[in-house]
Amino acid sequence: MIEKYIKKFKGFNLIINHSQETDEEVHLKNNSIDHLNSLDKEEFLITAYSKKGIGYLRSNFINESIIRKAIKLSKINADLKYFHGLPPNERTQNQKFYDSRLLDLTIEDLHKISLQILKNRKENISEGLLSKEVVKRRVVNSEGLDKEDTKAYFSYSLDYVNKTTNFSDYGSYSYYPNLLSEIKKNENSLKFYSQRKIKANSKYVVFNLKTLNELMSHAFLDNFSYENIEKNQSLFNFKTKYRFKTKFDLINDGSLKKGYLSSNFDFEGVRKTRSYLVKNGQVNSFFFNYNAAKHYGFKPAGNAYYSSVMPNDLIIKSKKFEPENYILIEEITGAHTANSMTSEFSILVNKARLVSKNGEKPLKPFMINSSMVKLFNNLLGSFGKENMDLNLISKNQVFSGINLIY
Amino acid sequence: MDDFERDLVKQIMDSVNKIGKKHNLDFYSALIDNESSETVMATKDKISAKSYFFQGIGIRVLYKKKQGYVFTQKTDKKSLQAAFEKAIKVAKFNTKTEIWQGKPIKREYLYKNNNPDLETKTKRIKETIKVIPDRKKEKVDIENNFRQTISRRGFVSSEGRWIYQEIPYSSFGSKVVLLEKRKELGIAKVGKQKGFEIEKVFDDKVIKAYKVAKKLQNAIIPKGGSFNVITDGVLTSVLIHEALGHASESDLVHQQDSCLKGKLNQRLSDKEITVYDDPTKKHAWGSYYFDDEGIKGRRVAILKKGILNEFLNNRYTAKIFNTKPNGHGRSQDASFLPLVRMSNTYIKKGDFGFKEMLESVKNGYYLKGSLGGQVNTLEGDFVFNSYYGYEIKNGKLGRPVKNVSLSSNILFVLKNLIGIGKRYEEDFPGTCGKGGQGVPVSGDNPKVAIKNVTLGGK
Repeated sequence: MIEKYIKKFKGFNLIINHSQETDEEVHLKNNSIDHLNSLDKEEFLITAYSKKGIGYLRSNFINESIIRKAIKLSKINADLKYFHGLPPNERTQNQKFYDSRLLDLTIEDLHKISLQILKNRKENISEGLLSKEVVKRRVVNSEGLDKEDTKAYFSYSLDYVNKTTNFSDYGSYSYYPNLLSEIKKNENSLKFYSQRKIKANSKYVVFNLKTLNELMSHAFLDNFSYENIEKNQSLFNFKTKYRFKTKFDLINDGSLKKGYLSSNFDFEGVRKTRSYLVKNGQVNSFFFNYNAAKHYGFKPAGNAYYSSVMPNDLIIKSKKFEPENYILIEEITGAHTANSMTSEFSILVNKARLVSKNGEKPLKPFMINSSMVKLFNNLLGSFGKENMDLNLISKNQVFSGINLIY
Repeated sequence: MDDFERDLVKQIMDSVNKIGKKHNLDFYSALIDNESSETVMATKDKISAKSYFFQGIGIRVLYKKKQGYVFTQKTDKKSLQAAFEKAIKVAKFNTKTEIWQGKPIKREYLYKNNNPDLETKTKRIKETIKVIPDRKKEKVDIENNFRQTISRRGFVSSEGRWIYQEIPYSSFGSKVVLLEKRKELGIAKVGKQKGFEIEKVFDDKVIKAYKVAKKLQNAIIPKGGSFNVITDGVLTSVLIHEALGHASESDLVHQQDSCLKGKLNQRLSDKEITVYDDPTKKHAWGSYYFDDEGIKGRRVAILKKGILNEFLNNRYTAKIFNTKPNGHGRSQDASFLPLVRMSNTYIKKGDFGFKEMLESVKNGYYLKGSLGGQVNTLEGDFVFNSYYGYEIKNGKLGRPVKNVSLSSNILFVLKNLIGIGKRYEEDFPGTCGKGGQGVPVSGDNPKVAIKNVTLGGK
């Protein structure tokens, strides 16, 4: 259907993105099923380029007047500093970046899984959600690009509660995870944090994947956006290759088979590939759309997202370092209050444990005031198995120089 | 365009009613969402406008006392019929539940949109870039955003409720980056349920953002630890929202996830502190006439003279707690079932002047502005981050400070209040997140002084 608008508006530089999403959800409350939800969503994103501007329009329907409005926006706007054309129609073979079995998962199946969770639970579940999401996307442009892709996700969130404490867990995957083992782990965590908490310090601090991901997304990754660099709202720039005091790699990769944000192409139809944001501790690349990548002399890695850019899957790699004693941080609050430009954050650590050869002890809540730059400048290395939380893949990264305020 | 959209929503409301009545349901309701917005962004060398349109219908059914919810964006009768059938199908899997049901009500709230065209708005935003003149010795970058949304929401239900409301949202935000000495970002914003008339304060906000960035350049990061603090009106808004507001949401109380469970009618503070949540405040960012379950929004005194007085509720929790809903069931949009939410939360002003507060605190910090906050409602621990502030030394303001977050506990704070300011300050429009949904909230609050809160610092 959308290709007819490309033909009708021949002579204009247009990209039309069409997504159709179906979600099935089972909501839990107070150890029972609260309600089931079924959603059908549709959205069109029209991007129109004129000589001096770009017009973006999002709508859940499409017609000629919507396209005209996007073109009108592009003519009012004066935000096109460079234009290197629309992404060409490269011939690439589509891959599946999700487990096909997710497509067959019905709301009845989700209901059965929910009942199984409720039946096997040993602790109170105050709130929870199990969902399946299938997104079909098609991108066409005036250069003849026409691509289609499908992506499926399984997500859950479970909040456990007892008289003294609570423990929340969530996950979103492009495959079906081992839920029962996750649940057992969470119930053990709830029990663990119900014990008497102590005050303790350690030279070494490990953020688990969830908390590290929270800090990365709120306090760090915006610095890699080409738009923020152009607006001087980043610590980095295109000319000087910023160097951290330690050696590590931060990789942006949208082509991982089970990657949460991996798929065949981005919102402009550009194929997702791998790029090193940081290589050996030196800033090496950024998140670009097609035109910005061409303009600044980088290879586009497929990071266009709506009218902006966003990371794909991220991998952190550092040398091996395993301390005997360390503090493992498992739940933080306030990461979203970080200053993403300076990378400064000030958080409350609600759930953390002291890990030593004598065993593990839950810690009283404490605060940390630091910055992501300071953290990575004090990265000692990593240990353990590589795991995935949403779009972050990493081992346990060990940081030093962190002051815990009780 | 306005009349067209208005008529469209009303047509869908009528279609839903016709189809809903044909099914043998204990209850049905539909929330019809029609939202259009324009955003204009300007920097020194760019001006860009974006447009967004969203429409959707959320259908909720109680079939044999079992609840199902379906969202669709297709508005033809056949699709609406299919949506009802699907809602009944998913309800069949559910366990039994009950919700509060009331009497028929018909209301309509229209907004007369007399806003200028996009070109005029673009021109005005472009002007705001020139508010801070280029100085040779000072490198400044600036980004200003204006967003205007018209929300049209229709609600119909089997109990005969027919509510149509149009609410305008206009917000302006300025980001000023100072590039020399130490790179710092100053932010200032305004958000009202008004139209383009808020442009009168655009220039003031840009200047404020610039002044904040200037202050930050000279600010120090204080040492962490336990201190007495004064929070300005903006920070008080976040404090009371995080510290008391969330724990007073009755769904969390019911889920055993609130530290206020079992404390209704108990004294929580020695001070005569009163806290309201009020969705009826004119032009405030978090206001509405009726909530997203068709219940009239009502001001609720959560805390009355230090005593826990009333929880916020929706149709579901009202039934559980055997009371009437007080109009706090809200959805981000029609694709979500409403949750219990706050609107505009504020502390009733007290009798402390600023000088008196400084003298009472003696040594500590005066903290201003907010980058947001978060709470663990069961344990009552919360954290929020101020934008900047000052040391207080011997009852007087000292050096500027930055990147300071405060952490404490709800019940502790209420017992450790030093005083409440005698003037309401600038309100703080924001988006509150809960259960994956964001809704507009606000609050104009006085300053408060608190003993012994933990500050995150060096």
